[in-house]
Amino acid sequence: MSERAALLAAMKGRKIAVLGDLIADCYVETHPERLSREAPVLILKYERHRFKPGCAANTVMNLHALGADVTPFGFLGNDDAGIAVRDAFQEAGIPVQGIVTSGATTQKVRLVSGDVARPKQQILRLDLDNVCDDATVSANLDEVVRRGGFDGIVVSDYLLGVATPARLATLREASPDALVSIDARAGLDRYPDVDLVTPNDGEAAVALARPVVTDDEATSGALELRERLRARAILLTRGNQGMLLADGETHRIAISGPSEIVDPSGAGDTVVAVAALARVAGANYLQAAHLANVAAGISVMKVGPASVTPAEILEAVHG
Amino acid sequence: MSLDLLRVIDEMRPPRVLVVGDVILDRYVIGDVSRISPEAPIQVLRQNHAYNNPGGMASVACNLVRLGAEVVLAGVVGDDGAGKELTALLRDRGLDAAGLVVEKSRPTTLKTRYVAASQHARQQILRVDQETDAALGTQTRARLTDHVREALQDIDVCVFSDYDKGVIEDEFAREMIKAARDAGVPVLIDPKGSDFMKYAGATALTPNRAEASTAGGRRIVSFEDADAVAETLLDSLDLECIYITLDRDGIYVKERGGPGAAIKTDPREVYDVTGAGDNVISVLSFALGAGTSSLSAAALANIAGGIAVEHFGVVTVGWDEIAARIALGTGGESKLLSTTMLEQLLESARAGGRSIVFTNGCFDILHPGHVDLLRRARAEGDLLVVGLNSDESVRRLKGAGRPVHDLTARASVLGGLASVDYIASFEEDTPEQIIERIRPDVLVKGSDWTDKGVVGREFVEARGGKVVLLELVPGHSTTNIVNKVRDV
Repeated sequence: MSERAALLAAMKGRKIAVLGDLIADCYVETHPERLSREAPVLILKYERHRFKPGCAANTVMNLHALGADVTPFGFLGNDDAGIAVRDAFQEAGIPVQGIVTSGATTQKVRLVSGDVARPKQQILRLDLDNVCDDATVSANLDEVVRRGGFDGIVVSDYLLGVATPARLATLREASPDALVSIDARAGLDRYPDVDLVTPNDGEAAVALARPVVTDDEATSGALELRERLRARAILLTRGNQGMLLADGETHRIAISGPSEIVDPSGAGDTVVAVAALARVAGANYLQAAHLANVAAGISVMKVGPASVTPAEILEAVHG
Repeated sequence: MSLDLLRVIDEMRPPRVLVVGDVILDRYVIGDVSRISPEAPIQVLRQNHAYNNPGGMASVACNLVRLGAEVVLAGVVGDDGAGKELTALLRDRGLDAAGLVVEKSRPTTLKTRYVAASQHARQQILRVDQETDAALGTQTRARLTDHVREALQDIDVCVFSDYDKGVIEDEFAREMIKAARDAGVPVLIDPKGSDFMKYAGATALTPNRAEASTAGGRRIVSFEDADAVAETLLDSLDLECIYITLDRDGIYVKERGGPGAAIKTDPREVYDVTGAGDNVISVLSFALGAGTSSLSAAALANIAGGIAVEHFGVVTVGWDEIAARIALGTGGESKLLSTTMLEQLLESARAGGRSIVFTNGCFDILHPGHVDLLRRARAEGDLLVVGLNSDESVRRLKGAGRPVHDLTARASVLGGLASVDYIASFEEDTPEQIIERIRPDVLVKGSDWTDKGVVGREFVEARGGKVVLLELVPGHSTTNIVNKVRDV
């Protein structure tokens, strides 16, 4: 068994908590019909729509695909979108006891259009953000996160109010030895003293208030963030520039796979899932980063948020 | 002409209208666009809110309700979320949704408009239609046919609102037109498409410019073109009358064997044409159901359509707005209405959710204090009704030699102010009786009334309204002006 196969095997059954914004990615498939008479706009004819787990829910699905025993913590509404995400979890055997029912599910809707002659492309994205403002529901989640026994905790913070330092503290208290990983769109300073932080270049630039474009900027930026956040490791993802790991040393990692990608959505969710789980399974940060890099290369070749399986990772490594 | 139209409105009695056609749920998703998607070179619309409106035939029905008609529906919805939403919306507006046949396997027609809104403007950026063009099921068709036949037995006018979504199918159209005519019920049709043969034998048709051009085989540019097309369609379809809606050129109306007439429209700012055709057919059918002449009906419908395009999205237009627009186009004295007519118009305004402000006075010689008070009074609600003392009551209150100007002259000057929507005269010394008929939400008086006890206060407050006392601009009064003139 190769070192990588052994690592993938060791991931199985690891207990991981995911605290974050569970959303539904909705894909509305249409074909172009005609121009409107009311306004100079396209009229698309609806064909079908489907929901996929997105954001933190995508991280959950990725961890599950890699064999982890994953428990999501967050909100879902009692609506079509929320029910679809719950169903996807239950079908996969993912427990839903950590999910509190709130008003409406946050959705990112992609309106996609095409037909026989015209390949499908995105026409519009519609974001329906729902921040839970019900104190009782919010207090319920505070209670629900009082669960222990986790090997790893992943925070997937899309700024919709689920991930808070207080809830993370509650989870950490109950699982003091858990490896803590943070994937947050902004506000990285709210999560100091953790193990792994996985910002992308844009998020790092905002946190540092300076550009993170060149190799030198990426290296110095990752080092500065590591010090400032007192994190064990910063894994900075840089689009087609690959990754930069700062774990006491700095390592540049070139992208894996072709540079022409299909769809970058959800790649960040895959990266934090793979890196966190690999580290929990005994890999060092560099090994974990390499594995996450391979997985990200697979994810961006799939349409929509996608999970990556151990088999795909092994195939990509050998192929 | 315009004053005649106000009388026409005054004299119409609400008809019973059967509305047959394709119901649509119009959904609006309103948001802001402030960034480009990180995944593709497209806009991200962040939804702020979304709302649903009854559309298609349902929009015509709601317009008719707003106008005061009694409406019977005949249409088809699916057994889905959009169908339930539509049914609820219609019930909210006081319509009986029992006339909507539910077909299980059929999606309710849903048109979603995505709208980007900022502080400066709102703009539609995309529309997605969810619908089927499959034929209705046999059972659905049979139930619909039975329902229409039954409703025709007790109805003043029948409207077909065809959006080509399956309800007004050829054979159904022919049968139902015949059934209506046999029952002595006029049939008015808002057509769709270019082949109008299925509408043959109807009383009247309301095609738009493009539809009429195609169906009549001649592109309509001038009124001569419209007349020729009208003639062709009247003959070939055996109609009694045709109303061709010509967007910025108004409506061309022609009866069989009669001369055609162009009803011109005021060139105003066109904001959104969505649903304007529904307003036109609603007013037309109401007017015809109430027995009005086709020319007056067209003139009223034209005004309603003109108001609709000034609003965003599908709106209902009430008689109050139509009457106000008529008054606007004539002298200020035309804002002086009979109390009976005013009551009806205000009923329509209340149905449209508009709040009514009332104030009263002699307004013999208008001065800056008046203008300022009226402007601020108008800002207390959505429309301002001014109670104007009759000449006799001014004489009793102010003494012989007053009023300087008679009622018509005073109404004419007062009506010239944009802040004044309607004027009603009253004979009594106090406005108590007229307040009870106007039923204002806000009663405005000058602050000089603070300690005098405002007549009508109890009545207005008991109905949940309020009394507002506005500060007066010092140094102005009609009596001072009169004395000054005498000294000269």
